[in-house]
Amino acid sequence: MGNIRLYGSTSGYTELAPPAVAPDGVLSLPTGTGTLATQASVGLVKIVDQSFTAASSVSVNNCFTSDYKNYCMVIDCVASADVGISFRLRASGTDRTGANYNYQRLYADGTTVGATRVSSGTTGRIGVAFTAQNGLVCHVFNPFDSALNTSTVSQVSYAYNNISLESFANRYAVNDSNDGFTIYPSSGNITGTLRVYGYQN
Amino acid sequence: MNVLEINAATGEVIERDFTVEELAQRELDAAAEAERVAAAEQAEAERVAARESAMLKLAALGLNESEVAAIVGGV
Repeated sequence: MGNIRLYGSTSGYTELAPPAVAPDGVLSLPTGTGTLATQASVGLVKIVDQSFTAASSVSVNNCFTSDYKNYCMVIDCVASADVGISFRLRASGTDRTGANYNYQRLYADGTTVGATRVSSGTTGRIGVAFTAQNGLVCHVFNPFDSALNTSTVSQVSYAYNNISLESFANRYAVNDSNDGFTIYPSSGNITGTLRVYGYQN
Repeated sequence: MNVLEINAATGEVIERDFTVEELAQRELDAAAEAERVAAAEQAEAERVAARESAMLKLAALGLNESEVAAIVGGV
């Protein structure tokens, strides 16, 4: 069996080559007016992939759109000190700073488990960051929908007493359409990588 | 202090200083955070003191250390 070349409309081609030892398998192509699957069927679509160094604040504009209802942020970072990671929604390139943020924190350090809540604050909180490597994932719900509150739920693994865990829930108590966000350490700066994905509706 | 601003629609990345307004907000944020931390530390100190008091009273009733721990749980 030979190779198959798919030529572009102007120049170049993509070549499909069989393996050295062909497996017993069949690639079925659509018939009639059938179409090949597109990226629209993928579960997560990457929107932002950005590293940052000694940043006091990281803002992302135009990442929340009508394309997706819910999003996932993945942050790998180290901090210049042991700090909280604050979070604000943005619209048209400006942070929302009204006292509309509410968050619930749950933490576990060995057998010590505790919780705190902040109501009607001017910033949310999605995690903590220490001077050793931290891994944080944050799910964001309905940020672009002007008919709903934006909420988040996040978890962070960090190297306090070798390993500790914190979970945060946030609710921005105003129905607003938000097209971006800002994260920042409560003091100092952070270095790492931020990725934002859209959950396919 | 540096701000990284990313435009997800265009891929443009700008590294800049805080604006005057952002710097003023950051100072407000720092003051609010200090106030929150102080209140949390005060609440935690009161919780620990209340727990120790409760454990002493349980011990006075005749419970041993493991029995008190079974009722009260972790730290």
